[in-house]
Amino acid sequence: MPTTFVPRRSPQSARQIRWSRHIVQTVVVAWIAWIVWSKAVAGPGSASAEAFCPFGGFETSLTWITTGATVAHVHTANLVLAGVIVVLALIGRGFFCGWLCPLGSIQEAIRGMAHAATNRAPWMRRAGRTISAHTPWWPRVDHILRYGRYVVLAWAIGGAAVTGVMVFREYDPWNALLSVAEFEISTAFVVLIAVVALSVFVDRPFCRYACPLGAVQGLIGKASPLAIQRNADACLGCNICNNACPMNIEVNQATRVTDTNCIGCLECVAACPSQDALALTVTFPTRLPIRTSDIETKEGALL
Amino acid sequence: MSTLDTPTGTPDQPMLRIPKSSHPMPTSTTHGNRRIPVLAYVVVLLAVIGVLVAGSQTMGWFKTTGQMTSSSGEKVAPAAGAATSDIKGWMSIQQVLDAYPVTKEALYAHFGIPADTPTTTTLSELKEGAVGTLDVPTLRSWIDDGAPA
Repeated sequence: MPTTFVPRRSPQSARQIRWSRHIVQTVVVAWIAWIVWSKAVAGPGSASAEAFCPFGGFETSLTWITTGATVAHVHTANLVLAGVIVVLALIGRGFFCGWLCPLGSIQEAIRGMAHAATNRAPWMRRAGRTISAHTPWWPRVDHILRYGRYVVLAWAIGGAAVTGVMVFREYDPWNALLSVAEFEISTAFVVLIAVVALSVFVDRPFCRYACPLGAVQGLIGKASPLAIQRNADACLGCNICNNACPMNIEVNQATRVTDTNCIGCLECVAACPSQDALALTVTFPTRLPIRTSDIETKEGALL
Repeated sequence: MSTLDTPTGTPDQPMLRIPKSSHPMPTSTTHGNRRIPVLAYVVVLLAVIGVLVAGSQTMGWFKTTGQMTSSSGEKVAPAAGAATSDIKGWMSIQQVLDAYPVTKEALYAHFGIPADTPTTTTLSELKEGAVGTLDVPTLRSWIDDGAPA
Protein backbone atom coordinates (compact mmCIF):
# COMPACT_ATOMS: atom_id res chain seq x y z
CA MET A 1 0.00 0.00 0.00
CA PRO A 2 1.63 3.29 -0.99
CA THR A 3 2.02 6.08 1.53
CA THR A 4 -0.84 8.54 1.25
CA PHE A 5 0.17 11.10 3.83
CA VAL A 6 3.53 12.72 4.29
CA PRO A 7 4.67 15.33 6.82
CA ARG A 8 4.61 18.92 5.61
CA ARG A 9 7.87 20.85 5.77
CA SER A 10 7.73 23.48 8.46
CA PRO A 11 7.84 27.10 7.31
CA GLN A 12 10.64 27.69 9.83
CA SER A 13 12.81 25.12 8.07
CA ALA A 14 12.36 26.84 4.71
CA ARG A 15 12.97 30.25 6.28
CA GLN A 16 16.11 28.99 8.01
CA ILE A 17 17.58 27.79 4.72
CA ARG A 18 16.74 30.96 2.81
CA TRP A 19 17.76 33.37 5.53
CA SER A 20 21.05 31.57 6.21
CA ARG A 21 21.95 31.89 2.56
CA HIS A 22 20.83 35.47 2.17
CA ILE A 23 22.76 36.54 5.27
CA VAL A 24 25.94 34.88 4.01
CA GLN A 25 25.46 36.40 0.54
CA THR A 26 24.88 39.86 2.00
CA VAL A 27 27.96 39.66 4.19
CA VAL A 28 30.12 38.65 1.22
CA VAL A 29 28.74 41.37 -1.05
CA ALA A 30 29.26 43.94 1.72
CA TRP A 31 32.83 42.74 2.25
CA ILE A 32 33.64 43.04 -1.45
CA ALA A 33 32.00 46.49 -1.57
CA TRP A 34 34.18 47.52 1.35
CA ILE A 35 37.33 46.31 -0.44
CA VAL A 36 36.33 48.20 -3.60
CA TRP A 37 35.65 51.32 -1.55
CA SER A 38 38.95 51.00 0.34
CA LYS A 39 40.80 50.66 -2.93
CA ALA A 40 39.07 53.74 -4.32
CA VAL A 41 39.98 55.73 -1.21
CA ALA A 42 43.46 54.38 -0.55
CA GLY A 43 44.43 54.25 -4.23
CA PRO A 44 47.17 52.09 -5.74
CA GLY A 45 49.00 50.00 -3.19
CA SER A 46 46.05 48.68 -1.24
CA ALA A 47 44.82 45.20 -2.03
CA SER A 48 42.63 45.09 -5.11
CA ALA A 49 39.36 43.19 -4.91
CA GLU A 50 40.70 41.31 -7.93
CA ALA A 51 43.22 39.72 -5.59
CA PHE A 52 40.30 37.90 -3.97
CA CYS A 53 39.00 36.39 -7.22
CA PRO A 54 39.62 32.63 -7.21
CA PHE A 55 39.39 32.39 -10.97
CA GLY A 56 42.62 34.41 -11.31
CA GLY A 57 44.33 31.45 -9.69
CA PHE A 58 42.90 29.04 -12.26
CA GLU A 59 43.82 31.39 -15.11
CA THR A 60 47.42 31.50 -14.03
CA SER A 61 47.59 27.82 -13.06
CA LEU A 62 49.24 26.56 -16.27
CA THR A 63 51.75 29.42 -16.27
CA TRP A 64 52.48 28.92 -12.59
CA ILE A 65 52.98 25.18 -12.96
CA THR A 66 55.26 25.51 -15.98
CA THR A 67 57.25 28.64 -15.05
CA GLY A 68 56.65 29.30 -11.37
CA ALA A 69 55.47 32.85 -12.18
CA THR A 70 51.98 34.29 -12.25
CA VAL A 71 50.44 36.24 -15.10
CA ALA A 72 49.86 39.97 -14.68
CA HIS A 73 47.28 41.05 -12.07
CA VAL A 74 47.41 37.68 -10.32
CA HIS A 75 48.99 37.17 -6.93
CA THR A 76 49.52 34.17 -4.71
CA ALA A 77 46.25 35.00 -2.91
CA ASN A 78 44.43 34.08 -6.13
CA LEU A 79 46.24 30.74 -6.22
CA VAL A 80 45.36 30.05 -2.60
CA LEU A 81 41.71 30.91 -3.24
CA ALA A 82 41.68 28.67 -6.33
CA GLY A 83 42.91 25.87 -4.06
CA VAL A 84 40.17 26.72 -1.57
CA ILE A 85 37.62 26.47 -4.38
CA VAL A 86 38.91 23.02 -5.33
CA VAL A 87 38.57 21.85 -1.71
CA LEU A 88 35.13 23.45 -1.38
CA ALA A 89 33.91 21.82 -4.58
CA LEU A 90 35.27 18.44 -3.48
CA ILE A 91 33.40 18.73 -0.20
CA GLY A 92 30.38 20.91 -0.91
CA ARG A 93 29.87 20.82 -4.69
CA GLY A 94 28.61 24.27 -5.80
CA PHE A 95 28.63 25.92 -2.37
CA PHE A 96 30.75 28.84 -3.55
CA CYS A 97 28.39 29.67 -6.43
CA GLY A 98 25.22 29.38 -4.43
CA TRP A 99 26.30 30.96 -1.17
CA LEU A 100 29.38 33.11 -1.69
CA CYS A 101 29.79 34.41 -5.25
CA PRO A 102 28.89 38.12 -5.18
CA LEU A 103 28.17 38.24 -8.91
CA GLY A 104 25.74 35.35 -8.53
CA SER A 105 24.12 37.08 -5.55
CA ILE A 106 23.66 40.29 -7.53
CA GLN A 107 22.11 38.43 -10.48
CA GLU A 108 19.81 36.65 -8.06
CA ALA A 109 18.78 39.90 -6.40
CA ILE A 110 17.93 41.46 -9.76
CA ARG A 111 15.93 38.41 -10.80
CA GLY A 112 14.16 38.46 -7.44
CA MET A 113 13.16 42.09 -7.92
CA ALA A 114 11.97 41.35 -11.46
CA HIS A 115 9.89 38.46 -10.09
CA ALA A 116 8.38 40.67 -7.44
CA ALA A 117 7.48 43.29 -10.04
CA THR A 118 5.97 40.64 -12.33
CA ASN A 119 3.85 39.28 -9.51
CA ARG A 120 2.40 42.73 -8.93
CA ALA A 121 1.65 43.43 -12.59
CA PRO A 122 -0.85 41.07 -14.27
CA TRP A 123 0.08 42.32 -17.74
CA MET A 124 3.69 41.29 -17.13
CA ARG A 125 2.57 37.82 -16.09
CA ARG A 126 0.48 37.54 -19.24
CA ALA A 127 3.41 38.76 -21.34
CA GLY A 128 5.64 36.16 -19.71
CA ARG A 129 3.17 33.37 -20.44
CA THR A 130 2.81 34.55 -24.05
CA ILE A 131 6.57 34.59 -24.55
CA SER A 132 6.87 31.10 -23.05
CA ALA A 133 4.11 29.81 -25.32
CA HIS A 134 5.84 31.20 -28.42
CA THR A 135 9.33 29.97 -27.59
CA PRO A 136 9.07 26.19 -27.29
CA TRP A 137 12.61 25.96 -28.67
CA TRP A 138 14.09 27.86 -25.71
CA PRO A 139 14.89 24.82 -23.48
CA ARG A 140 16.92 23.30 -26.30
CA VAL A 141 18.80 26.56 -26.91
CA ASP A 142 19.32 26.97 -23.16
CA HIS A 143 20.79 23.46 -23.01
CA ILE A 144 23.24 24.18 -25.83
CA LEU A 145 24.25 27.58 -24.45
CA ARG A 146 25.21 25.97 -21.16
CA TYR A 147 28.29 24.49 -22.83
CA GLY A 148 29.46 28.08 -23.29
CA ARG A 149 31.06 28.18 -19.86
CA TYR A 150 33.36 25.29 -20.74
CA VAL A 151 34.41 27.13 -23.91
CA VAL A 152 35.12 30.25 -21.83
CA LEU A 153 37.06 28.14 -19.32
CA ALA A 154 39.31 26.63 -22.00
CA TRP A 155 39.85 30.01 -23.65
CA ALA A 156 40.63 31.80 -20.37
CA ILE A 157 43.15 29.27 -19.07
CA GLY A 158 44.69 28.47 -22.46
CA GLY A 159 44.83 32.12 -23.48
CA ALA A 160 46.52 33.16 -20.24
CA ALA A 161 49.11 30.39 -20.63
CA VAL A 162 49.88 31.33 -24.24
CA THR A 163 49.85 35.14 -24.01
CA GLY A 164 50.94 35.68 -20.40
CA VAL A 165 48.00 38.00 -19.74
CA MET A 166 44.50 37.29 -18.48
CA VAL A 167 42.62 37.29 -21.78
CA PHE A 168 39.27 36.88 -20.03
CA ARG A 169 39.86 39.96 -17.86
CA GLU A 170 38.85 42.32 -20.67
CA TYR A 171 35.42 40.66 -20.82
CA ASP A 172 35.00 39.68 -17.19
CA PRO A 173 31.90 41.31 -15.65
CA TRP A 174 33.35 40.62 -12.22
CA ASN A 175 36.36 42.78 -13.11
CA ALA A 176 34.01 45.50 -14.36
CA LEU A 177 32.03 45.32 -11.15
CA LEU A 178 35.20 45.79 -9.11
CA SER A 179 36.17 48.78 -11.26
CA VAL A 180 32.71 50.31 -11.20
CA ALA A 181 33.96 53.17 -9.00
CA GLU A 182 36.30 54.21 -11.80
CA PHE A 183 33.39 54.80 -14.21
CA GLU A 184 35.36 53.25 -17.05
CA ILE A 185 33.32 52.13 -20.07
CA SER A 186 35.15 48.97 -21.10
CA THR A 187 34.15 45.77 -22.89
CA ALA A 188 33.82 44.11 -19.50
CA PHE A 189 31.49 46.90 -18.39
CA VAL A 190 29.28 46.29 -21.44
CA VAL A 191 29.24 42.55 -20.58
CA LEU A 192 28.27 43.47 -17.01
CA ILE A 193 25.39 45.61 -18.24
CA ALA A 194 24.28 42.75 -20.52
CA VAL A 195 24.39 40.33 -17.58
CA VAL A 196 22.38 42.71 -15.42
CA ALA A 197 19.81 43.21 -18.19
CA LEU A 198 19.52 39.47 -18.88
CA SER A 199 19.12 38.79 -15.16
CA VAL A 200 15.72 40.46 -15.36
CA PHE A 201 14.51 37.67 -17.65
CA VAL A 202 16.74 34.67 -16.92
CA ASP A 203 17.96 33.25 -13.59
CA ARG A 204 21.73 33.72 -13.20
CA PRO A 205 22.52 34.13 -16.92
CA PHE A 206 26.28 34.53 -16.44
CA CYS A 207 26.44 31.49 -14.16
CA ARG A 208 24.54 29.38 -16.67
CA TYR A 209 26.22 30.32 -19.90
CA ALA A 210 29.58 31.92 -19.35
CA CYS A 211 31.05 31.52 -15.88
CA PRO A 212 34.33 29.58 -16.14
CA LEU A 213 34.64 29.32 -12.36
CA GLY A 214 31.25 27.62 -12.22
CA ALA A 215 32.43 25.24 -14.93
CA VAL A 216 35.49 24.28 -12.87
CA GLN A 217 33.41 23.70 -9.77
CA GLY A 218 30.78 21.72 -11.63
CA LEU A 219 33.42 19.34 -12.92
CA ILE A 220 35.31 18.98 -9.61
CA GLY A 221 32.04 18.81 -7.66
CA LYS A 222 31.18 15.56 -9.41
CA ALA A 223 33.47 13.93 -6.85
CA SER A 224 31.67 15.47 -3.88
CA PRO A 225 29.84 13.14 -1.50
CA LEU A 226 27.29 15.88 -0.72
CA ALA A 227 24.18 16.28 -2.83
CA ILE A 228 20.45 16.83 -2.65
CA GLN A 229 18.77 13.43 -2.29
CA ARG A 230 15.17 12.85 -3.36
CA ASN A 231 12.93 10.31 -1.71
CA ALA A 232 10.27 9.27 -4.22
CA ASP A 233 8.04 7.91 -1.48
CA ALA A 234 7.56 11.37 -0.02
CA CYS A 235 7.63 13.21 -3.35
CA LEU A 236 4.34 14.83 -4.33
CA GLY A 237 5.32 15.14 -7.98
CA CYS A 238 4.34 18.80 -7.84
CA ASN A 239 7.33 20.28 -9.75
CA ILE A 240 7.78 23.06 -7.19
CA CYS A 241 11.43 22.06 -6.78
CA ASN A 242 12.05 22.40 -10.52
CA ASN A 243 10.50 25.83 -10.58
CA ALA A 244 12.50 26.95 -7.55
CA CYS A 245 15.86 25.88 -9.00
CA PRO A 246 17.69 28.93 -10.36
CA MET A 247 19.69 26.69 -12.67
CA ASN A 248 16.59 24.93 -14.07
CA ILE A 249 17.69 21.49 -12.95
CA GLU A 250 14.94 18.86 -13.10
CA VAL A 251 15.23 17.94 -9.46
CA ASN A 252 12.11 15.77 -9.52
CA GLN A 253 13.68 13.47 -12.12
CA ALA A 254 16.75 12.66 -10.03
CA THR A 255 17.57 10.34 -7.19
CA ARG A 256 20.60 12.43 -6.32
CA VAL A 257 21.09 15.88 -7.81
CA THR A 258 24.62 15.53 -9.15
CA ASP A 259 24.11 17.84 -12.11
CA THR A 260 27.21 19.96 -12.85
CA ASN A 261 24.93 23.01 -12.85
CA CYS A 262 23.88 22.51 -9.21
CA ILE A 263 25.02 25.49 -7.12
CA GLY A 264 24.02 23.99 -3.77
CA CYS A 265 21.67 26.87 -2.97
CA LEU A 266 19.10 24.48 -1.44
CA GLU A 267 16.23 26.51 -2.93
CA CYS A 268 14.64 23.24 -4.05
CA VAL A 269 14.81 21.89 -0.50
CA ALA A 270 13.36 25.10 0.95
CA ALA A 271 10.56 25.16 -1.63
CA CYS A 272 9.58 21.51 -1.29
CA PRO A 273 6.32 21.22 0.70
CA SER A 274 7.09 17.66 1.80
CA GLN A 275 9.44 17.36 4.74
CA ASP A 276 11.11 14.12 3.69
CA ALA A 277 11.16 14.40 -0.10
CA LEU A 278 14.33 16.44 -0.52
CA ALA A 279 17.31 16.70 1.80
CA LEU A 280 20.96 17.55 1.69
CA THR A 281 22.77 14.29 2.31
CA VAL A 282 26.24 12.86 2.38
CA THR A 283 26.55 9.58 0.54
CA PHE A 284 28.83 6.70 1.37
CA PRO A 285 29.39 3.27 -0.14
CA THR A 286 27.46 0.42 1.41
CA ARG A 287 27.23 -3.30 0.84
CA LEU A 288 23.47 -3.19 0.77
CA PRO A 289 22.17 -3.40 -2.78
CA ILE A 290 19.38 -0.87 -2.28
CA ARG A 291 19.27 0.71 1.10
CA THR A 292 16.15 2.82 1.30
CA SER A 293 13.06 0.93 2.29
CA ASP A 294 10.96 3.69 0.80
CA ILE A 295 12.25 2.80 -2.63
CA GLU A 296 10.99 -0.73 -2.23
CA THR A 297 7.65 0.63 -1.15
CA LYS A 298 7.48 2.87 -4.18
CA GLU A 299 8.47 0.11 -6.55
CA GLY A 300 5.86 -2.09 -4.96
CA ALA A 301 3.33 0.63 -5.47
CA LEU A 302 4.25 0.98 -9.10
CA LEU A 303 3.91 -2.75 -9.62
CA MET B 1 -0.56 23.30 -5.55
CA SER B 2 -2.22 19.93 -5.85
CA THR B 3 -1.69 18.85 -2.24
CA LEU B 4 -4.20 18.97 0.57
CA ASP B 5 -3.89 19.59 4.27
CA THR B 6 -5.69 16.83 6.08
CA PRO B 7 -7.15 16.42 9.53
CA THR B 8 -4.74 13.54 10.18
CA GLY B 9 -1.95 15.97 10.95
CA THR B 10 -1.42 17.75 14.25
CA PRO B 11 -0.65 21.44 14.68
CA ASP B 12 2.93 20.42 15.43
CA GLN B 13 3.20 18.13 12.45
CA PRO B 14 0.75 18.96 9.69
CA MET B 15 0.44 16.36 6.94
CA LEU B 16 0.08 16.53 3.20
CA ARG B 17 -1.89 14.06 1.12
CA ILE B 18 -0.14 12.75 -1.97
CA PRO B 19 -2.60 13.26 -4.83
CA LYS B 20 -3.79 10.06 -6.53
CA SER B 21 -2.77 11.59 -9.84
CA SER B 22 0.82 11.95 -8.65
CA HIS B 23 3.37 9.62 -10.21
CA PRO B 24 6.77 10.88 -9.10
CA MET B 25 9.83 9.46 -10.81
CA PRO B 26 11.03 6.48 -8.74
CA THR B 27 14.35 6.78 -6.98
CA SER B 28 17.01 4.13 -6.76
CA THR B 29 20.41 4.10 -5.11
CA THR B 30 23.07 1.58 -4.19
CA HIS B 31 24.70 3.98 -1.73
CA GLY B 32 23.88 4.80 1.83
CA ASN B 33 23.23 8.39 2.73
CA ARG B 34 22.79 10.53 5.79
CA ARG B 35 21.07 13.89 6.17
CA ILE B 36 23.24 16.92 6.79
CA PRO B 37 21.76 19.81 8.77
CA VAL B 38 21.88 22.99 6.71
CA LEU B 39 23.57 24.89 9.50
CA ALA B 40 26.33 22.29 9.71
CA TYR B 41 26.78 22.43 5.92
CA VAL B 42 27.28 26.19 6.02
CA VAL B 43 29.37 26.37 9.18
CA VAL B 44 31.71 23.54 8.16
CA LEU B 45 32.32 24.90 4.67
CA LEU B 46 32.87 28.45 5.92
CA ALA B 47 35.25 27.02 8.53
CA VAL B 48 37.14 25.17 5.78
CA ILE B 49 37.63 28.47 3.96
CA GLY B 50 38.72 30.20 7.15
CA VAL B 51 41.22 27.50 8.07
CA LEU B 52 42.75 27.30 4.59
CA VAL B 53 43.05 31.08 4.19
CA ALA B 54 44.36 31.60 7.72
CA GLY B 55 46.82 28.74 7.23
CA SER B 56 48.11 30.17 3.98
CA GLN B 57 48.45 33.61 5.56
CA THR B 58 50.49 32.09 8.37
CA MET B 59 52.71 30.41 5.81
CA GLY B 60 53.11 33.71 3.96
CA TRP B 61 51.45 32.44 0.79
CA PHE B 62 48.47 34.77 0.80
CA LYS B 63 49.79 37.87 -0.98
CA THR B 64 47.16 40.24 -2.34
CA THR B 65 49.59 42.56 -4.06
CA GLY B 66 52.79 42.25 -6.05
CA GLN B 67 54.35 45.04 -4.03
CA MET B 68 57.28 44.21 -1.81
CA THR B 69 57.55 46.31 1.34
CA SER B 70 60.35 46.83 3.82
CA SER B 71 59.90 46.26 7.52
CA SER B 72 59.07 49.99 7.82
CA GLY B 73 56.30 49.55 5.25
CA GLU B 74 58.08 51.32 2.36
CA LYS B 75 57.71 49.96 -1.14
CA VAL B 76 60.78 48.09 -2.26
CA ALA B 77 61.66 47.89 -5.93
CA PRO B 78 63.43 44.85 -7.33
CA ALA B 79 67.21 44.94 -7.07
CA ALA B 80 69.37 45.37 -10.17
CA GLY B 81 69.50 42.20 -12.20
CA ALA B 82 66.14 40.91 -10.95
CA ALA B 83 63.94 38.83 -13.25
CA THR B 84 61.63 40.82 -15.49
CA SER B 85 58.70 38.95 -13.97
CA ASP B 86 59.28 41.21 -10.93
CA ILE B 87 58.23 44.26 -12.96
CA LYS B 88 54.85 45.32 -11.61
CA GLY B 89 52.38 48.03 -12.44
CA TRP B 90 52.96 49.85 -9.14
CA MET B 91 56.63 50.50 -10.03
CA SER B 92 57.69 53.93 -11.27
CA ILE B 93 59.61 54.44 -14.50
CA GLN B 94 62.66 55.38 -12.42
CA GLN B 95 62.51 52.09 -10.50
CA VAL B 96 62.45 50.19 -13.78
CA LEU B 97 65.40 52.22 -15.06
CA ASP B 98 67.31 51.54 -11.84
CA ALA B 99 66.68 47.81 -11.80
CA TYR B 100 66.97 46.85 -15.45
CA PRO B 101 69.49 47.52 -18.21
CA VAL B 102 67.47 50.06 -20.17
CA THR B 103 67.88 53.79 -20.77
CA LYS B 104 65.21 56.41 -20.31
CA GLU B 105 65.56 57.62 -23.91
CA ALA B 106 65.20 54.11 -25.34
CA LEU B 107 62.22 53.35 -23.10
CA TYR B 108 60.42 56.58 -23.92
CA ALA B 109 61.12 56.25 -27.63
CA HIS B 110 60.08 52.60 -27.87
CA PHE B 111 56.77 53.05 -26.07
CA GLY B 112 55.97 56.54 -27.37
CA ILE B 113 56.04 58.16 -23.94
CA PRO B 114 56.19 61.98 -24.12
CA ALA B 115 59.62 63.27 -23.09
CA ASP B 116 58.18 65.52 -20.39
CA THR B 117 56.62 62.58 -18.51
CA PRO B 118 58.24 62.46 -15.06
CA THR B 119 60.06 59.27 -14.17
CA THR B 120 58.08 59.13 -10.93
CA THR B 121 55.03 58.11 -12.99
CA THR B 122 54.04 54.51 -12.30
CA LEU B 123 53.55 51.96 -15.05
CA SER B 124 49.89 51.61 -14.02
CA GLU B 125 49.39 55.36 -14.41
CA LEU B 126 50.90 55.22 -17.89
CA LYS B 127 48.59 52.37 -18.85
CA GLU B 128 45.47 53.87 -17.28
CA GLY B 129 46.21 57.30 -18.73
CA ALA B 130 46.87 55.77 -22.16
CA VAL B 131 50.23 57.54 -22.17
CA GLY B 132 52.23 55.79 -24.87
CA THR B 133 51.79 52.11 -25.59
CA LEU B 134 53.45 50.68 -22.51
CA ASP B 135 52.01 47.77 -20.64
CA VAL B 136 53.80 45.50 -18.21
CA PRO B 137 53.89 42.23 -20.24
CA THR B 138 55.20 44.08 -23.33
CA LEU B 139 57.83 45.87 -21.24
CA ARG B 140 58.98 42.56 -19.76
CA SER B 141 59.28 40.99 -23.21
CA TRP B 142 61.10 44.01 -24.57
CA ILE B 143 63.70 43.93 -21.79
CA ASP B 144 64.04 40.15 -22.09
CA ASP B 145 64.66 40.57 -25.82
CA GLY B 146 67.57 42.90 -25.08
CA ALA B 147 66.33 46.46 -24.83
CA PRO B 148 69.05 49.03 -25.72
CA ALA B 149 70.95 49.89 -22.53
